[in-house]
Amino acid sequence: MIELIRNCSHDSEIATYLIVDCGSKQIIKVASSIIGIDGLQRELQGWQWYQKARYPEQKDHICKIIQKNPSYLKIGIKFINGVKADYRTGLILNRNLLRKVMSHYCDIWPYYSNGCSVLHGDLSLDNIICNKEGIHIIDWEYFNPNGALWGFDAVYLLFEVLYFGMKRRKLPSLLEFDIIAENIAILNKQKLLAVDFIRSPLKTVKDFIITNYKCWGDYLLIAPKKLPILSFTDNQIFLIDQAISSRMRGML
Amino acid sequence: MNINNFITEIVEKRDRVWFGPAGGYWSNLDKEESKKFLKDLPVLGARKTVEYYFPQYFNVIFSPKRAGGLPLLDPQPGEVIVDVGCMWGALTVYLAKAGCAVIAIDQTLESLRLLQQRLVDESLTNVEVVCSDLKKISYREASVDTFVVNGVLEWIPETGTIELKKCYGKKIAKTDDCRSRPDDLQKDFLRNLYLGLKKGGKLYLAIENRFDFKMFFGCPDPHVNLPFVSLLPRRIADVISRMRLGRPYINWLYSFGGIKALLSESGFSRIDLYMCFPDYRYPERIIPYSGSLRGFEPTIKLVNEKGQRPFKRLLARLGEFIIFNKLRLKILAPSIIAIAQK
Repeated sequence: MIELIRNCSHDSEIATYLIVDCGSKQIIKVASSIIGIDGLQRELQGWQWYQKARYPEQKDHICKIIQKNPSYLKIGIKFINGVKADYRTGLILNRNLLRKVMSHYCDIWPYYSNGCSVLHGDLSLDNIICNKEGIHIIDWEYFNPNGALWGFDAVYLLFEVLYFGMKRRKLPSLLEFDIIAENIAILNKQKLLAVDFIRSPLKTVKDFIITNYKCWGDYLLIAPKKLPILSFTDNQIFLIDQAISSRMRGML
Repeated sequence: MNINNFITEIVEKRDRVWFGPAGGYWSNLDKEESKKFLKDLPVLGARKTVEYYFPQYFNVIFSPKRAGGLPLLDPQPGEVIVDVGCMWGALTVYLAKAGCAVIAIDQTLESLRLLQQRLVDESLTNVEVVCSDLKKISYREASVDTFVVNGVLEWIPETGTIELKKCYGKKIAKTDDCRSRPDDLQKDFLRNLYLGLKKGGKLYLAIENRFDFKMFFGCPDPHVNLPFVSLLPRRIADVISRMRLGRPYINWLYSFGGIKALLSESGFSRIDLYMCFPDYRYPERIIPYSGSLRGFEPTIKLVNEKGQRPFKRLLARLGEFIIFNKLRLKILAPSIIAIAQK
């Protein structure tokens, strides 16, 4: 039984299917355009890297090519059973999960001598599966092997959860500021986090995206709202960063 | 690919197009509009021509979303697939990229010229283009792996010239009135495809659901622009159509049960039905009819193509949520995709 579960969402030009065959499940992703194929190739690379780091004991490829032409690519990904948090529920309800994700990030993400690390590029609650084996990160369509400052994806996740949780409020609550600060502090325990993420985390994340559009291929050109944190205004960024950095000073 | 191995009535080949028995004209564009863009086509290429002459149809032609249902077929390289009523080739190009040997048939030469240019632009050589009446063409017995009939079946009872803009919801008496029952014509058409299929071959059929939930809220039938006609008994719908449009109601749609019966009567044995949301043209979700609607998230977007948020859309989205997430009324799904096997 096959089911289309997502078709070109956020102009990604990739269609995602779920195949259920005698109880076993598999995710299939298909693309037939340059942008879509580029995304799937990144997904393959991303899974290759993540599998080595996260599931070193697993010999079979989690993500593999099923069919490939110069203008067509179809890949299969093993289905991971587990629970996804609702991305709209905000920081407070996801406090424990976020702590786990920060620790997972610290365990998995490598640190290169130039201060960079691999880029997931779309680390949102929707791309995190939680089960008894722990945290699993999926959807590697924006993967870049040496694309971002260490900590970028994790800090990005915090602000994306904040964005959806704020709904129509202009500023976060005090508790939300605390949650962001405590999670950045978890990352900072590794002593790898760039100082800008402590001084002005939201501005650093947004500036990085704007100055590194190419890391996301052509996606951000055709779908600029794909990354919701780009929607924070300068005023919001200033006030949020000030509140967080003052809390960080207290923690350090 | 030798076209004569698959189609019996090929008359001649002119300018890279095979010609079968001549048919009418069916297009969203008027004949005059179609003529205009043809002269610039080789110079501008397909994309720029569409952007310049009819940008409102850009997504209809080029959006990769259009082909979201085709992986249900699991198309394999080398398979012979006939796209019946291919028009501008939104699905043809996808199948060609997947490595299939594609025969693209349409009765409107102007649409096929655009498709041809697109094939040149994308360096796709595994497509044969055929201009012919879809009802008069015959296929060699058991020669084709798959037929694709995407949004075509409901138009089969029509004959002659259909310039959609001129006749959609407008009062135009058609001179070549439909003499046979529409469902008989549709069955004949499907039987013809059935005979052309190899044993185990597949038919991909996409069509609006006669009982699409939106129709109950007064949303007009997408073929004749009259509200409620698809829900009503055919005879009453026919009377309304004759009164309001001056022509019979012949663009028959079907329910899930109706399409299954039609395909069975045409000879197909194994028929898998799928619910398609928000419609089969730009599918967001395709769910097996035998599957579950648990956790269904609405697919109708709140924002329209012009960036506005009309209240109607909000209502439609709310209706979609209640009907499919809460009540799970599969029978009211907006569109149907059927995969039928010989």
